[in-house]
Amino acid sequence: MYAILQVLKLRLRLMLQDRVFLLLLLAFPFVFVFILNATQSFEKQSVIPVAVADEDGSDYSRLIVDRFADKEGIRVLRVSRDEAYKLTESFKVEAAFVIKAGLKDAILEEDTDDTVEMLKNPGSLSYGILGEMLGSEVMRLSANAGAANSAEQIYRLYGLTSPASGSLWEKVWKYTDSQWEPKPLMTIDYKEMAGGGVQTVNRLTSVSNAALTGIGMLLVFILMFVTLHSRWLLEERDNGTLKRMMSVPGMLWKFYAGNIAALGLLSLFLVGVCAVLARLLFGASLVFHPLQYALLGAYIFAVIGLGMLFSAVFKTGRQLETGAPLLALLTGFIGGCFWPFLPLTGPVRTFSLCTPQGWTLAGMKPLVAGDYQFLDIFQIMLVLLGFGTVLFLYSFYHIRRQAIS
Amino acid sequence: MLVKTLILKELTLYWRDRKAIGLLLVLPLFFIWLFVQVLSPYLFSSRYSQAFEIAFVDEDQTFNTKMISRQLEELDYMKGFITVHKTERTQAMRMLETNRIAGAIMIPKGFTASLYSGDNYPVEFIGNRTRKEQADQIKNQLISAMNDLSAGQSAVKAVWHAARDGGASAEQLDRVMKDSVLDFMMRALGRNEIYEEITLSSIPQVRFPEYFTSALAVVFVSFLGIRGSRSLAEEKELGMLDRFRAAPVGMWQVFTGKFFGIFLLLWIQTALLVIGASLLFDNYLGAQPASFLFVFTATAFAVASWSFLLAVLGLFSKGTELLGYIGTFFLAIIGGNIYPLFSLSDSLQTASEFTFTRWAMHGMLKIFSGDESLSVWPETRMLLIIGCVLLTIAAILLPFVGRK
Repeated sequence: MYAILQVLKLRLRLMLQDRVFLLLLLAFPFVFVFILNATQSFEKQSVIPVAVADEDGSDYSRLIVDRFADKEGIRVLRVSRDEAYKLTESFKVEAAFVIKAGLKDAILEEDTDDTVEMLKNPGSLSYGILGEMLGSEVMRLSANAGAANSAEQIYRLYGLTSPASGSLWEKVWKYTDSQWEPKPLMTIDYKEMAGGGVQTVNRLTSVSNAALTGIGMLLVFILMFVTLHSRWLLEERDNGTLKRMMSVPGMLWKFYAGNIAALGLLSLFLVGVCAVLARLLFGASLVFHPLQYALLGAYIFAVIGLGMLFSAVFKTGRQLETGAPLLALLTGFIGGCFWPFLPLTGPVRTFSLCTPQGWTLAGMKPLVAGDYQFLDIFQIMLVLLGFGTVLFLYSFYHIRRQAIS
Repeated sequence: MLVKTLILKELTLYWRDRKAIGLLLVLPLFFIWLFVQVLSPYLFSSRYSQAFEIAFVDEDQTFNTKMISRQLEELDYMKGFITVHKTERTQAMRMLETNRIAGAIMIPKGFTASLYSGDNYPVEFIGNRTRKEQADQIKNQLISAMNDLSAGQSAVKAVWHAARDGGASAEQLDRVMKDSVLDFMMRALGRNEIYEEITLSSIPQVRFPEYFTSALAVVFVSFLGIRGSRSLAEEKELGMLDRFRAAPVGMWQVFTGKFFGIFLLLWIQTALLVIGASLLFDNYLGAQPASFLFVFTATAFAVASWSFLLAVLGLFSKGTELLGYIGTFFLAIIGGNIYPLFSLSDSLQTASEFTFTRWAMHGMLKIFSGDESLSVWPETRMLLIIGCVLLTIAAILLPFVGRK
């Protein structure tokens, strides 16, 4: 045990003396924060932003926009036509409305067709409901004007007696509008589900994109970090250390275990730094459940095994340096690390389970959502530990053979 | 002649590692397929709304309420957004309790009759508290529908009262009532005709495989470029560069040969990748050949410049390949090649204008859109400018190599 600890200490000292290594250790959390920031926009928003450009500028159009802005669940941005177009095409709003000049005249003349431009993008879903909301306000004023116009026509048609004072049109308009106070003629009886159903809320806790993306990124970085730093094996092989160790019985496996422990410790340090950054900058708790630690531990074990395999298989450190980042990125994509917040199905899920990242994420998702079965997580850990053990054994056998030969 | 020889030599060196070249041609096709499978349903999905289900309970069962129910299902904007389950009250409550639906609309018995009598029974809506945002959306929809009805009723009532106050006979009032109901009902039905619908997108209209071919081609071409960037460092390690200095060859010729070697290889990879993916995924290939030529050439030039800069940096420090991979990945994120550009923050979108990944992707998107009114010249120009800037930085750094 003492020998393993000595090797661990030595390896940590050597790694921390390496300037490129230190740079990487600092760079990974930086890239981590950057990617987290980039994927924040996938987070669902609770309020729907809508842009409105009022080119009519009349008292009618102002009233329509004011009433529309008072509605629940939306945030109305009052903008110019150009801004409305820009916001819509850049997916910054769910939809936008451009009230064309002449809307008031159109309402008074009862010809409102095509008086408002409804702008949407290919992602807009609730544009129709937003349209109904704004449209009902236009409809309200149209009904007032329509009633007033109809009354005037009927008076002319039937030769009825006009009111003694004031204009008939104004009177009918006001009477129609007065029907909305204290409440409209038609209402809905709104209730919210209470009781038994509410208790199921916990199972529906929305999982933060930041937390899941953070974990996905972390898995990629750990793989990249571990594989890049598995080159110690190649270096020790090239400078003959492994061969010399064979002369001391039992030394090779102690050396091997000590180096692996050093990589494991540094990986845990990387996890700690990224978890703190995610918490401080994005309010996302990456690792909060004891089973998450266990799962991450199993993952680190598996990827160190993978790193050892690469070191045993690659001929030069240069090859390893070239292959490791590419491998980490590509298996990260296959494992679903860059979109952990999306559900994987069919062959894509099968492919993802061909990677340790895929297995780890399959365990992390239910843990983060708080909807997990202990047995499922345990099975995943066993898979990862089994994967790592097989790779360790194979690489150790390979290295031993190389050292002997 | 000398530069030509150096270019050929460079291409021969690449050709020796046929496995890597083959892999870098096959891998992108797999990743395009993977991205299409995973991201297509979410690529243009709304951040503000999600599809959900509701229950519709018609306890009145009249012609009018059945028409309302049919309208709910047939509205264009409801398709793919809100799924309506026609069911009974007890079943609707069970669906609410199991959180399957965001809310339940209940039309009470006697609802239609109440409209004619003026009693106006309210429509009952039970929202799911755990799905507040979705429940609010359907509540807003219902309130709007009720407001449309209120507007019509207010108008009918006002016209009838005005006619009565003006001295209309009972027969005339009857006629006024019938005509007004029909008139305002028609207006309520035609409420959405006020809109001129326009769909906008900053991305040309393309199919998902076309989108991901455009997005990923430049990323994988860059990966090949990074592989090539290590040749200068290797030659330095072997002492080849020093030997070149002793030969009657200008160093600029060596570097020019290297650059054009990378450029030609990347041009071929870009063309093979885009055409291969297009044949496999049935992408649109009917654009003007000149457009392909411009975008391929400008993309290969920008990526070759990036690779050349990395190659020069590789003369100063080890680990440049790692920088290249992480840097390319960074550029791909900023350029909108991994996550769509519109989903990034404003500052990242501004930063993306300085990345070759963005312009290469947009150039290809324009080609695949088949829209001949979209010129690829702005993208070509930006790629050439970025390539020139990267080459200039590499050229500024080169004289320091000798001193090191």
